[in-house]
Amino acid sequence: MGNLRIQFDEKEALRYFGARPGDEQAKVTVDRAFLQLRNEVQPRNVIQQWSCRVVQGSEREKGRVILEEGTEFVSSGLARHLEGCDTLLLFGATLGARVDTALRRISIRSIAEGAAAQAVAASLIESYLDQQEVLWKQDLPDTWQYRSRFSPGYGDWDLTEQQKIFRLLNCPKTIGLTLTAGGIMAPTKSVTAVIGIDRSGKMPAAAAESRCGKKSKCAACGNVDCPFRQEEL
Amino acid sequence: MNFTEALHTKRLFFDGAMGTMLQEAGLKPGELPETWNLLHPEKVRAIHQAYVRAGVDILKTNTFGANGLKFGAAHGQPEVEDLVRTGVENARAAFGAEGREGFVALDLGPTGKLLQPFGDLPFAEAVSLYAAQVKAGAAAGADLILIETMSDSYEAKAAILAAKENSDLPIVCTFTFDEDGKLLNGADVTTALVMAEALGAAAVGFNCGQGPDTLVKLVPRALKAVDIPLVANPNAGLPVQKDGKTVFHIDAAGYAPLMVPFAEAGVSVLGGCCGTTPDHIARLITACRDIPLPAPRSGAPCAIAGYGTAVDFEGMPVIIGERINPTGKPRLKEALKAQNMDYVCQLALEQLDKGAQVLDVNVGVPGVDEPALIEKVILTLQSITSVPLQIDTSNIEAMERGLRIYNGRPLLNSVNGKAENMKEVLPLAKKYGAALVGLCLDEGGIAENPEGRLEVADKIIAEAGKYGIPAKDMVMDPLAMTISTGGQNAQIDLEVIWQLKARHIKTVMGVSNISFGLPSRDAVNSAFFALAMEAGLSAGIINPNSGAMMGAYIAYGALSGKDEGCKKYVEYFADAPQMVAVAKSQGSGKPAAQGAQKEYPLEEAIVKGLTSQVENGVRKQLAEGKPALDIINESMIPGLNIVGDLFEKKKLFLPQLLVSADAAKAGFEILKQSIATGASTEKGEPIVVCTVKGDIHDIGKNIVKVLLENYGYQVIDLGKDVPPEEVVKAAQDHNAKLVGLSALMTTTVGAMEETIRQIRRTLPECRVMVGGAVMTEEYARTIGADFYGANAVASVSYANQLFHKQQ
Repeated sequence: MGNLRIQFDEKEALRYFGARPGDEQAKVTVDRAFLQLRNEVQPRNVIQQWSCRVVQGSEREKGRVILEEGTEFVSSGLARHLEGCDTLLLFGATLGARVDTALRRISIRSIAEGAAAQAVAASLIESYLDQQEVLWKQDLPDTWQYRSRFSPGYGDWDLTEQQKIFRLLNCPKTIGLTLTAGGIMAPTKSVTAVIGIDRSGKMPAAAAESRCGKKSKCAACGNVDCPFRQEEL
Repeated sequence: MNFTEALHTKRLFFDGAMGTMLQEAGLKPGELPETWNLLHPEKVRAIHQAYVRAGVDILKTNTFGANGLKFGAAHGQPEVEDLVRTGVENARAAFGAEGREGFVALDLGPTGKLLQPFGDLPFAEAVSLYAAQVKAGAAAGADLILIETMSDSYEAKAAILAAKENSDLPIVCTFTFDEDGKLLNGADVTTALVMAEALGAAAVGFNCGQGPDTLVKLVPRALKAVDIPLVANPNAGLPVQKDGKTVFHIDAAGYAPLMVPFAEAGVSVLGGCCGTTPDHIARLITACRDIPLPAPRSGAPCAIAGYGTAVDFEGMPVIIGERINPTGKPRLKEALKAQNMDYVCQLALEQLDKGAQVLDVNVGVPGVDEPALIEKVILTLQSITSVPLQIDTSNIEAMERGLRIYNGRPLLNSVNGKAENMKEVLPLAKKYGAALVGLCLDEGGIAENPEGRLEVADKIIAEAGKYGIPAKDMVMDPLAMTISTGGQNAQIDLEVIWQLKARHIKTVMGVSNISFGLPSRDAVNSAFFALAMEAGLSAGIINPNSGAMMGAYIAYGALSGKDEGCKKYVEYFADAPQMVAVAKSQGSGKPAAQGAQKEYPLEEAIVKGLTSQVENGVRKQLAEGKPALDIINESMIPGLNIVGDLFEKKKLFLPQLLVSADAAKAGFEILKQSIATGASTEKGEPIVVCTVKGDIHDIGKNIVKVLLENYGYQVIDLGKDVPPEEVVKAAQDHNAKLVGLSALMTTTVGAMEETIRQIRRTLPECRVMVGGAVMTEEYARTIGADFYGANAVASVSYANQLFHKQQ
């Protein structure tokens, strides 16, 4: 809890905004959007650690990740991503409702700044999670190996599975994060995800590559047409 | 002794956590705790009994989340009524089993949904969810209603209203603040507590979220904000995850000493929340029971609030922006009739930028459905700003609708001294907890001397008192009448203000009425404003865009010594020389800010996205006598076409496209004004756009809207989370031949498909274009759309093609 100062990654915000390198006007727009957003951010997160079992998918059946208390996440992509993991971190995080209010306000004044602010907010929640991840891992054994964040909506992990995460984390009460009837998170600048943990310290090649910095976190996602996809760092 | 009597005469103690205890008794993660009222009543009672043995006076029922969103036949779960009834019975039985008397608090927690406009739960639905719980709880014999763990003040309002409308039970409302003293919706301690007190809570306070060590820091703010008793039910420290379980650090021995400062600081009722146990509470009671109950307080100022920071009338006069009032404003009238909420929002933001602290909201246009419109305008304004609003209407139905939907504690404008009017308005102000503007007029009209107006003021204040509205919540308006028809008019107002100030009664005034019918009104208005402030005016309803008025305000602050060290004065006028330079250069057609920059032709300025150059270019061409339509067709549209073309060829990217759109929009604003004052307005083809039901992402839709508007289309923007029926109705009402639908997520594409189906059924001629992050050409075809817009420019091209527009 508490209002941790989030590092603003301007480069990442410009990328989400769709700006080309050297676009000075876009840089100014993004910076102005950030100035209007920074005092509206009220980040919150909730995290749980679970023992889990990973069952890989087959032609007939999707893969599953089964938590010790019985909940099953159904996704071959997730199962592949968590290969070798027997523990996972399950978490939800949000920048809070005030960011949404500010995003609307900024869009009314200027659509360019509105879109830039969306990009800034998206980069802020990512930075927030990056910072949190470091903090969470500090409290865990050094020998553990971690997979990158994987969220409902990535690859074949259906967004409807979000319900299961919300039930476990009790997101409305713990961090004020809710789901609409359409399964959309409100406040909008929010993330739920899992991080697989391999306590044996061994790591499959693909995961190791991603971790050592050769590949970006996007490499884990099956959405290869995503306009924001980043293969290399 | 009932609960309300006990609250004021003895130190009361709440119990501690229920959830923590249920988990220890075997409740599994994800299992719904309220079901245990029916499945394992003996275990629930055993927990209650342990708390009774610890010495508590109030038991919270195990009904925190027992609402219709989770329970009832539709969810394959027990009925709300049964869970609540057994919840109350279990608590009552626990007192009985231990042979003690005590109070049973019907516990209402958050619904688990965000309310509109932040999420998708309508306010009315939130009220009815709580109403079902309240009815069942009251029927089962609860002694009070505890609304707790509220992290959204709006939801708390829904719960309090439901409690008031469905029972006579006293209400206690506790909020969950973060360490900075903010709720998740941004409301601070003063805002949340003031609203709950005004709505009629018997006690307010804190629960959950933090441990006593940090929570105690918020107590002084609460003591200043409200006069009713305070409650504190903290957690046993911050929750920490250990081996997949939530644990709390502060043990029973550590908890009690941390609670003593609450009792000593003036908190009346103490207890616990997550992580606390009967042992925590027993030790707390031992430590605090002999600390004397705090003396009643009465010094809290009258404050009004949205859901951000509250505004009181104690320091400098409050600036209430008067611009959202259609009287004499044809453009706003038209916008309100067309429900063009963007224009209303722009007026709001403009005033806030210029220093307004409160916004007046008056939507009284002949021929509109004022009750529905005021509700919509308030909801929309509160989706972009958290400042307090002044609900300004004489239409009683509109008044109630506005007061009800409003998030926070509003200022209501107004009641007057006519018996009939007081009878209608005062109960509404009381029920919804509004601070109230009282106009010094009655059946006898407006008195032509100070004594007459003061008499009416006294009458209103006395009558309001009978309804339980204290004088401190009244703000009297002496009524500014123009000096052009009565030389003494200004003096009368100043005398009334001065007299009321001497009696600690607050005043407000629509200042500019003083100069009606005179030339150079700003000169009179600003001088009168300064005089009124010196006489003691608490709030001015003014146009904050007027430099003279804000200048008078800032200067008054400096002259009166209220602006210490003239800090605000210096800050306000720091940019003044530059402002003069801009004004001069605008006259010569050259923007000062871009002094060194090359001046481009209008068309090119749009391509480059140079807003001030576009504005100057348009002004210049208008000044040369060029008709607005020619400027649009010869410069604006060609400029936009070049941008669109470059975007499609990937020679220009989204940021530049949007900067150009903004620049063009600014140019069109100027053209619209000239058209509105001159020739007849020709509205473009109507196009309905929205984000479909269940989806609350709207940036893509907003981009398409701005681009379509720049091409002259009349865009009817229904917003986000729009049900299919509403889309069909709007298309029908506006005779729209094109509808644009946006959906961001796979989970909401179903809603898009259903919307298309309903459009097809009712309006077979109407075309539908779709877009959004998950959409593809193939997907669009599958769900029956006519066109898939891969980006905003493609959507505009499609519309242009459909309506044979020049491109």
